[in-house]
Amino acid sequence: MSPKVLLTTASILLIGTILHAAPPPGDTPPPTPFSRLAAAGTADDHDGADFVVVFDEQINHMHPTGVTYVDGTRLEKILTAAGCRDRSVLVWPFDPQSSHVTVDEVNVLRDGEAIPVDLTYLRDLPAPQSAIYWRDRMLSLQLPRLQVGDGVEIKVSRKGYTYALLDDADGPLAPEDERYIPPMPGHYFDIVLFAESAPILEKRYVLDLPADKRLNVEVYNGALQSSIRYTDERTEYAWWGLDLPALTHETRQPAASDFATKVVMSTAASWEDKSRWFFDVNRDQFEVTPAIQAKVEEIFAEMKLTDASEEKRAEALVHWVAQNIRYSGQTMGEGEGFTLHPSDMIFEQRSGVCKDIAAMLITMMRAAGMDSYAAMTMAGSRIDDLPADQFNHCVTALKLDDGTFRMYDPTWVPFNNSIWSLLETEQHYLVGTPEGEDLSRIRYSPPEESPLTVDHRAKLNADGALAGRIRFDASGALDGRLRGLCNGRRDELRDRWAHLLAPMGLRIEGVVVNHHPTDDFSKDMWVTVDYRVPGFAMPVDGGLEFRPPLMAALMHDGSLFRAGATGWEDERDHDVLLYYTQLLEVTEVIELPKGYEVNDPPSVDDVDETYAAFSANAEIKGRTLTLTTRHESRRRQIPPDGFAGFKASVDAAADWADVLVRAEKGGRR
Amino acid sequence: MIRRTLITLLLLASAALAQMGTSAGHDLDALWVRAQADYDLSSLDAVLLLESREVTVTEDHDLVTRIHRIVWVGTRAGQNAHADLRIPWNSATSTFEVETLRTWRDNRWWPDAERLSDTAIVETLPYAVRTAWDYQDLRETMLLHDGVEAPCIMETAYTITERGGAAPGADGLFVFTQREPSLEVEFSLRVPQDTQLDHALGNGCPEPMATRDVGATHRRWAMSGLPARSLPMVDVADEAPWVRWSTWGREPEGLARHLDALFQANAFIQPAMSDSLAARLRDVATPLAKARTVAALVDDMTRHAHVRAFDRRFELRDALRVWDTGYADDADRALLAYTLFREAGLVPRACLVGADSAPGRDPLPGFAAASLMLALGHPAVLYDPASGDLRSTGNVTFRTPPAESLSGMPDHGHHAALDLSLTPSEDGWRGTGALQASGLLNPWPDMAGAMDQGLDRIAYAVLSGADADDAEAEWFDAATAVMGFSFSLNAPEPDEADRITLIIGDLEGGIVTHLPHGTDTWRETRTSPIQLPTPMGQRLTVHLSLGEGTLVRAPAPRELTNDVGRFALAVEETNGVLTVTRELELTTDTITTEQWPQLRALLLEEADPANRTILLRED
Repeated sequence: MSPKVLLTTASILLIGTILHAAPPPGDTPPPTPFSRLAAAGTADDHDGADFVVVFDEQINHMHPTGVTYVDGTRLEKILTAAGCRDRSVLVWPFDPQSSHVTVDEVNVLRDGEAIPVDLTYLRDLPAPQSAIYWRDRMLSLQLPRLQVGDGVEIKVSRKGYTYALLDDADGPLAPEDERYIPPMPGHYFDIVLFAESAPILEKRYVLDLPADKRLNVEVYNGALQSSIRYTDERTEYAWWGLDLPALTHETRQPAASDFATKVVMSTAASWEDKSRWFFDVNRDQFEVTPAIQAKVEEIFAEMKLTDASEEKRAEALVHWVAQNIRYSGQTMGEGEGFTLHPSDMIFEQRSGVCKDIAAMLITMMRAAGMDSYAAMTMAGSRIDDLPADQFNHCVTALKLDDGTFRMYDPTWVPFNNSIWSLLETEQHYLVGTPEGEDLSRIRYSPPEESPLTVDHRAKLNADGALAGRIRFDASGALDGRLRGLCNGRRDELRDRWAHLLAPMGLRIEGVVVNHHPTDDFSKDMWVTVDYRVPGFAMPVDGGLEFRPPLMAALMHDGSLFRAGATGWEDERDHDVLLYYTQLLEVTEVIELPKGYEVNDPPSVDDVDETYAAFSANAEIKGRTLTLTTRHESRRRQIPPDGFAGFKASVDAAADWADVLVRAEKGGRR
Repeated sequence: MIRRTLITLLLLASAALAQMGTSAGHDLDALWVRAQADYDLSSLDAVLLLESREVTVTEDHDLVTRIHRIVWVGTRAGQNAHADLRIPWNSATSTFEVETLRTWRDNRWWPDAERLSDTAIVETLPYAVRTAWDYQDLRETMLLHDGVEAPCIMETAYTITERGGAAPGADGLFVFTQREPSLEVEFSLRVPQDTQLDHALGNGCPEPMATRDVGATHRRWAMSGLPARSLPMVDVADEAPWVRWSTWGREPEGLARHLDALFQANAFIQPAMSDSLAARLRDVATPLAKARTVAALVDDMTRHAHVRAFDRRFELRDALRVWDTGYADDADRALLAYTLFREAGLVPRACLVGADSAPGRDPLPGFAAASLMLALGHPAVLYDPASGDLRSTGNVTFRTPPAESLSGMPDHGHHAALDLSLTPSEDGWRGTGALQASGLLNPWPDMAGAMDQGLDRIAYAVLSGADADDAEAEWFDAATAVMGFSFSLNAPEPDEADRITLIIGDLEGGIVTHLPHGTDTWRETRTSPIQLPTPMGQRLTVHLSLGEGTLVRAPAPRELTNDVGRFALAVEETNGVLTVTRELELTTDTITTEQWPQLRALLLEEADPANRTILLRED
């Protein structure tokens, strides 16, 4: 290279440096971690938050096989003493079967200096696990004592089904990375929430795809900024959001993915593709072994169902699986997480997670000659109409003669006489079949399908004691609730019901509980409770005063009356998720002591709103006081604009539970 | 008898078809036959055929604990209790070895008799230490039984070896009665011959069986046909037979020295700690207020890692490290508090305090069935690192150091009397209150340095909505408190019948506050006894000037005296002033199962709305 060229090059570099050092007036220099930290404010600027996410960026490079390499950079600012205490250890969970995490750099930014944290102290540990024991792991790192105003800068790379980091994203795949090829090879999906428990000042998500990959994508629950750039080889998508508030929590709200701003993306073309893939990847898992065949025949023989209809036999099988395959998942190694365990493994272990329990039922149904399939669903949350892996649960589908499917969920119906829990209505599902299915949805279940009917017959004595019998009958979602109250330790049954009824009066005694067997699914559940409460009514001014006896107990028990027993806020920003609709019908017939009358039966106004309704009535005929109560929770999920009406119905129930009933000796004073 | 014999013969015959065999010398088939003969299995969730714990101290001071359990389960509840076991241990100091993990069903073992499933033993991290780096050597290994389908029999055997776990001393507690009825329960203890081994027995635990081991002292206890734990379950079964054992020596000084040395060796301080403390102590004068300030600083500066102290055997990190990491378990919280108490000019002393129930009250020194606390001052107040509270010593049992060196509090008994007078005012009532309290019912540890808020809570608990002001203490120390205050109370909204309701509520910090967990008045019967911290008495008096209001209803006078105490309600109206006095006295601290109805009767009188409700009508 000639000296002239060198000089010219040096001059250009010098000019560039000068230009970079002095931006034009009014222009802001590119941000640095320190400038971001300085501009991030204090706790007062963030509603007292203990820390704020100053910057969070994830750059995803997808290999044509689907293996993804991710560069992650995150900068947090500690705003309070509690933040210093609570953010003192960093943790990165991962599943070694499907992903790998490398912590590249962690710095504490303090007083204009970056203090590196020694990564030799990084620990690779078994993760805490409960019910699902797939040997997940986590990395853990202790930070030095943090100070208010500190920044914590974290640089991490991952590789796996959706994540990883390598410059040469199109090059040959390293042999050790083959294990990270996703279940749908060559495909990419992700669901990215733009919210967390702390406020976020800037969050960016970048996806770098091979040019031949096409992406279905949509932003839900709000707006984000976005861009698309392409070269001949790659296409780069980016989404970012600024000044994102921290997630707030309200009672019985749905998962954040139902309301927080999110991007859902997938290279799968359609639900039908997804359905075919799910069928194919599991097609060899349902082998009917002789032992399984024998068990199926044994079940039918014991229940005298050998020649029964398919519906009856399928019902027997779902209850056998629900009762005998406990929820406790051991790992099967390769393929764990998306492949159902082989049925002989589940049959021997008698345990598994939802996919394995569903697989057991599929196999047993096939052993009985039924046309059954695995299906995916999203328990408790919405699936948005984009064919990404928006699934957290696995169930069983039985194909009927007319080509439709009847759905069974053995994981959610232990001690429940439904074949599909009514806590899962209006839920989307996708059946895996060779032909490919579209996304479907479980139908709405009205409250009449989940009734709790309570019949209370009681006698009030002149000394204020109340004695009687309460009969509870339940169906649908409430069947499982009622069975659950009878299904714990046998030697604690009486105390459990005494505790439940204690709001009627702490002096409760003589409690005797009888109930339908909790593992007999031939009938709906019923329970009777005999009891006596001395001093139930208070003698006042020659009369007896009391409140509707059973309502006090029901307003305290979330199993029997979820809407009534929950402490609701006055206003809501998020939906209420009750999981199930409910009809509550209570009849209390109270025989008054001889010579007593109720002259002014209590009353409250009826409420009839879109999402809930309440009505109550008191009638006196001679010495018999009849109190009737009816409450309907009409939807499992209630939007914020329906909350006021819903709450009005619950408040009316609370008012009714608190009305004063006065029984006067000798009639009107 | 004939029926039982027939059943036994039948069962023996059927058992001959398939054999469980023997395990560690136990004939499993014979145990199963006995269980079927001795229990009505159709009414039970589970039965323990064998519960065995063998503890061995080796010449190298290793502590080896072997657990062997064989359980029949017949219901989902039994399955939930026994199918998936979570076993805590410390991977830094111990090894964990599984011997047997199998299920007997349909006349065979699942998996095969001698096989351990590759996937059924899963090492996990305790959730409590997920973000506590220094404690992440702790483990919870899951033992997952294959083949479980009720009814079935599950067998589990494993050994934890703690390297050096018996140095400088070791101790433990074994309670024979289990949650399930038990056919055979065994406990065995083996130490080198030159190691002093002491034991204490309680609740009918038999004397140990003599065994001969070369070079070792070996004691073995065995009990048969034990019922299930009584309900509700209390922390330590008062009626259950137990063995406490210790190699610390009969006198507590050795253990006390060990504790002192541990704390002193680790009580380092750095400028950041002293500066933070100094800033908080700037306007704090009294020793107790300083102690409360330190306790609050410990809470603010450390996340509480709820690790069972047993898992770390009170190993301490140094106080600098505790401060720097920002989290601590009970023992490390105690160390940090100890260091800061000293910096604040106080004199803390680490001690082990026995639980209130029976095994905690035997004199044998040791960590088992004890809590680590710090004693401060004379008379002593205790800092409890588990709750962060300061509390009166009451009549707790000191395991170390000797009780007399710490609990020098003069015994004024455990009483409280609150007297409130209300006169009508424009918006409701104005009132004055006087509180006299002593011992456990003395609010001093809770209120010192925060008297206004404390009295506010007391006034509010008795009369909902009451707001205290102008507090003044005449006498206020660890032994007794005498104080006065004034308060205001807005009139409640009238009800449908145009009446105002005044409910005389609870005495904050009174007897009900000190009842042990599980003392639920809705239980008509119970099978477990209740150990109160001490006999206690309280009196609550309300003088209500009626003014122009008309009394519609007042509680009716009543009195109830029985073997465990007395309840009295006196009501008097004189010159337009209604005086209601409610008294509760519990004269014993040990309430047997048979005495529960008597205690319940007293507590129900105390809680009865009829004994609390005053109705007024404004004229």
